Amino acid sequence: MWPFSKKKSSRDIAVKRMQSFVRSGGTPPKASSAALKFEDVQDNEIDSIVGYIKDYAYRNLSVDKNNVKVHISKEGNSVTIVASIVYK
Amino acid sequence: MDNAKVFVVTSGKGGVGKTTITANLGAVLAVKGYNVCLIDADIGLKNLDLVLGLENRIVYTILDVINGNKGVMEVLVKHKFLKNLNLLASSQIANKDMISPEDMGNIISVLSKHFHYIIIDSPAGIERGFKNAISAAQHAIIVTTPDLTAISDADRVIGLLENNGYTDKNMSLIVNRLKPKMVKKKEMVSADDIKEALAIDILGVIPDSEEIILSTNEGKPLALGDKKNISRVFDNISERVSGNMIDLEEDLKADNRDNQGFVDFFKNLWKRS
Repeated sequence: MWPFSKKKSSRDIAVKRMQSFVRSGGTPPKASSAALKFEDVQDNEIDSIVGYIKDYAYRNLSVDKNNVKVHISKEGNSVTIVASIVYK
Repeated sequence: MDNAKVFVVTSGKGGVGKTTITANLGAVLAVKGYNVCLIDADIGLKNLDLVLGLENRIVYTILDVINGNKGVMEVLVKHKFLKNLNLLASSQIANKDMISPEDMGNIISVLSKHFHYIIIDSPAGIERGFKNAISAAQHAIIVTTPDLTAISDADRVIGLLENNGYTDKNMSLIVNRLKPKMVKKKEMVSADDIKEALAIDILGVIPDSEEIILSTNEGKPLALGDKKNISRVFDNISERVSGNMIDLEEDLKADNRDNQGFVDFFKNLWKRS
């Protein structure tokens, strides 16, 4: 390998990595993201929401359903759902 | 007063400068004549009193208010030099679960009648303490450093804030400890890179500085020292918080080490020895 080839700047590598993990992925509009708040949710409804999220990831993002982790936390009447998708 | 502006300073990651920013932003607003109350919401791991140099003046804490032993206004500690800067101190022995978002809401509603600005210093993490801190605020200031770990946590926090009703209208970003020299050499992500990735507006860019370490050592906010360098950045941030537009480029001018001349270099060397 030619020893004097230009080294890729550290900033470029960092920007690329940063854009891979942030939600907006470097594209501006966060306007499309929606904040959903669920209240008075039944347990069977939560199960169907989890199933829907996994199906959505499987169909639209080509991700195995086992690689979609859905975390549910309840506080009073409200439920927070966090979905993590693991890409390999 | 009743139309107090309530800010929460948060980050997700610890050690990015939330407490220092809370203290210095509060101090600079107080210098400008506003009545300011700072709330240390980091229950069990309090630091804000230390940064303000008030650690020996704490008698009552937020827990005394929650327990009903004291009223909110009775437990506030006034700053030694800035009498319109007040601190609602945290308790070292309590834990975050002893306080609920409702408690925080009640405290803020009382303080709102007496202060122009209320700034809540959120704990690191995204657990109960974070939820308490963000519950009663109107505007969230997310602090990050140019490290990928801090940016990743800031992104997660922005998502959680959105889930709690915050929008890009009432969230803004402070990029702390930026090294303009490294940015110039393309060795560090710039404030614009971070803004683009996180897609929220920047409230301020604070260059990495020894001045902040020195002011924390002395427990003396920068606003009480010479009006130069980093203290100017907090001045700019306070103007933006008050609704005045100051160009972000002004913040980076504070980092004048790049521009210091030969004589200044030796003067600084002389000062340090």
